[in-house]
Amino acid sequence: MKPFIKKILLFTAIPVTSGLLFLILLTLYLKASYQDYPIGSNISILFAGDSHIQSSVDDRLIPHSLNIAKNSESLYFTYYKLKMLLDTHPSIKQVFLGVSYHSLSNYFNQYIDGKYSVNISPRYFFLLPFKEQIRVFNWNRNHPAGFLKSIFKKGMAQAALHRYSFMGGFTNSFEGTTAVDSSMEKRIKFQYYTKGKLNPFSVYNIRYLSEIEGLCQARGVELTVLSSPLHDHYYKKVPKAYKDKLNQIITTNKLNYIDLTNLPLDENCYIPDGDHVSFFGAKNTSKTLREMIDEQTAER
Amino acid sequence: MLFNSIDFAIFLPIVFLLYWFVTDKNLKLQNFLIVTASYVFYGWWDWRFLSLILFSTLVDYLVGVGLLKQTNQSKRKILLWVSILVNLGFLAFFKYFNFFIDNFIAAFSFFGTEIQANSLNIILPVGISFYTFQTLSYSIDVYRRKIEPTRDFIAFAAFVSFFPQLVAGPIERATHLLPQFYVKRTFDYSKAVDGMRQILWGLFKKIVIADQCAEYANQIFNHSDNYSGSTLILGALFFTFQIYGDFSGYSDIAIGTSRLFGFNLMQNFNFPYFSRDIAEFWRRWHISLSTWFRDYLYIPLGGSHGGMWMKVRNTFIIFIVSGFWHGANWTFIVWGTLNAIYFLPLLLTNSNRTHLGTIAEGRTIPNIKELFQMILTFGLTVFAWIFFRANDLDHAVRYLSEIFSNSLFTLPKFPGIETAYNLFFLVTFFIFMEWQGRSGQYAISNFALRWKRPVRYAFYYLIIAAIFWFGGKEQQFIYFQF
Repeated sequence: MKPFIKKILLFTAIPVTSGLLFLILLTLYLKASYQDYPIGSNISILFAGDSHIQSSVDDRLIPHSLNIAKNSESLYFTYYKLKMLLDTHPSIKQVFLGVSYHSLSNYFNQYIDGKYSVNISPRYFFLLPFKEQIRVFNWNRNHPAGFLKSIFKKGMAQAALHRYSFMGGFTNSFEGTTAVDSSMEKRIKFQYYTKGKLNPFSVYNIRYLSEIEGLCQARGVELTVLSSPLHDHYYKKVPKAYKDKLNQIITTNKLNYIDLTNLPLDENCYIPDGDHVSFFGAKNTSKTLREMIDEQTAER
Repeated sequence: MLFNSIDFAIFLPIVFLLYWFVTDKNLKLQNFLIVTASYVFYGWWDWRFLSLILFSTLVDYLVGVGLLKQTNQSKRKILLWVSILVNLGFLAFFKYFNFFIDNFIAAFSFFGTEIQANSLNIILPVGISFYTFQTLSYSIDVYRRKIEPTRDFIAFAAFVSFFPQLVAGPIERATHLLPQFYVKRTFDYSKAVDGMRQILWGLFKKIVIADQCAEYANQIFNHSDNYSGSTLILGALFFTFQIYGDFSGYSDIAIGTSRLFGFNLMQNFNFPYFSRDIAEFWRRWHISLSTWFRDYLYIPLGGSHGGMWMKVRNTFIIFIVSGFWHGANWTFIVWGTLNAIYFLPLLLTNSNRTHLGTIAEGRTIPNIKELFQMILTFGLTVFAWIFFRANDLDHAVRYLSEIFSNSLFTLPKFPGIETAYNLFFLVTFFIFMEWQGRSGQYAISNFALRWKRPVRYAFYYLIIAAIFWFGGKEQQFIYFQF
């Protein structure tokens, strides 16, 4: 019996030890490689956030800007992504951070420590400090194989192919779509309600919004909170508590705020869910943003 | 609890250590641990269904005790019928109730009479077809005086609920498994190592082959109306490897796990896709079920005695019943009938026992004749699997009509076909491994044993890496639904 157990332990110890060693080396290598992360030296503006910013800001239309937003990205992960980029790229002077009403809902937590964490957190794993890595491991303890595999895959893709899955960037392939009432209502239910009850606020996103504010302040970077356009039908259905909460956060923290929520857009500027814009919507949003940024620059 | 889950990866070592280090001195305690572990294992899905197992165990135990005391033949028969009715009653209710109701209504409406009957929202308890057949075998064997009825309730409960084979077999006979609970098990190093190897190969079959094939098979079968005949053939091939990898993989893990605890379970799959005719296929596919039907249905019906007509009738009966055992759907009945039709020429020419040995024994490759026979048998099997996998008969017919259309001569095309090419290499490797190990209990039972340890370990690590790489989704085993 004992030789059997010994052999099993030895047999298991070899891949576990080498896997762990490989993971440590990969982490060290990637952390070092982020120093040279290729962002053009002419880039001074970043657009960060989730799919709302990713699909609504076409950075090709806004000079010296880069859209780094990524779908399902919570502010917890945005914070570490921005930290890496601001630490290594002093040319960045302004950050537009996508925050909308939905960002405040705790439905977002499922992308941080909930059921979708296994798909989302590996993207950012190597950006995180050790303590946070352990935390993320813990969140995914029920899917260790899937999580580890995903970490290795993402890490290898970053190291070997320079495919940085956390970076995102503008993408929008929706043309000829309009908002659909039933889809918007479904979306509202998904984002703000659980079993008919209003969702509490996301502690993570609210906390990391203020962490991002602190980070930008410390690096001398101007932070502007940006709310992307919403269809009128969707907007009307957003619970008042969320509208009030966002206003309260903005005013209490005296944050710069660009509110494009009610930007007048044609019907074909939305996709069925009403809280994302279509390709045409992105074009209009980006033009508006460019005008605003140009005005701002002229005022200075 | 799924074998391919983290829960099981924690559960197994705990039970193993308790079994060999804490309860090893006392046989009763060891059996009790098996019962407890098995109930935890089963209750992990839905604890409410534990009452079914417990009830079935109690009934068959008491029937056994009754049969021991009873000498009156008609009373013995009544006791046997109690066991049959309880076990098949469970099956009939949980598995077939809605099927019968729906078909009853359909039959009446066909003749112009509309009747009102509601089907029930019944959840099928996992593995009910397996453990009911296992307990039935006990009652029948006791009735036939082939086995002494047990007075050890714990041993009997352990036999019924033995967790490695509880939910998807092999369906063990009381004559084979029950006596193993009466004797003290001693740890056998080589048996345990062999068990680990078999578990490893079972996981490879399930996670790397079956689950990967399932992705494409599901996609093609679920949207079959959108695809060409050539793509649909590919879909049927994916399903062919999926069902084999899934079910035989489960059996390998079950047998391997049992070996860790000092038990021997019967072989359930013997490289069926290398069969030279359909009779050989059925001697190699789900052996525990085929032999169950042979012993408890075919032979009592008269078997092969009584002339050709009797043989044909009985063969059709067991294939149709076997099809129905797989599920309450006409597709399974057609699948069973189709296999009976395949069997018919062999039966009529008395050549159903021509191929009893291993194909190409002592040779590396088969000869042309064997290759042709193998391809033909494989083709017939793939054809029959279409009925097995289809949602209903209409779906199966539409699927087959598209296969036999002009679109058969176009290139296969479906979303993700590029990644499906990778699967082609995996399946080729899998077939190669199965072929080289076809004379063993499982493909890698003798593979690499004479290699130097580092090389042998490297091979195992490669298999583990593949399992790790392709795993992570914890897919259900197909046969749980039966």
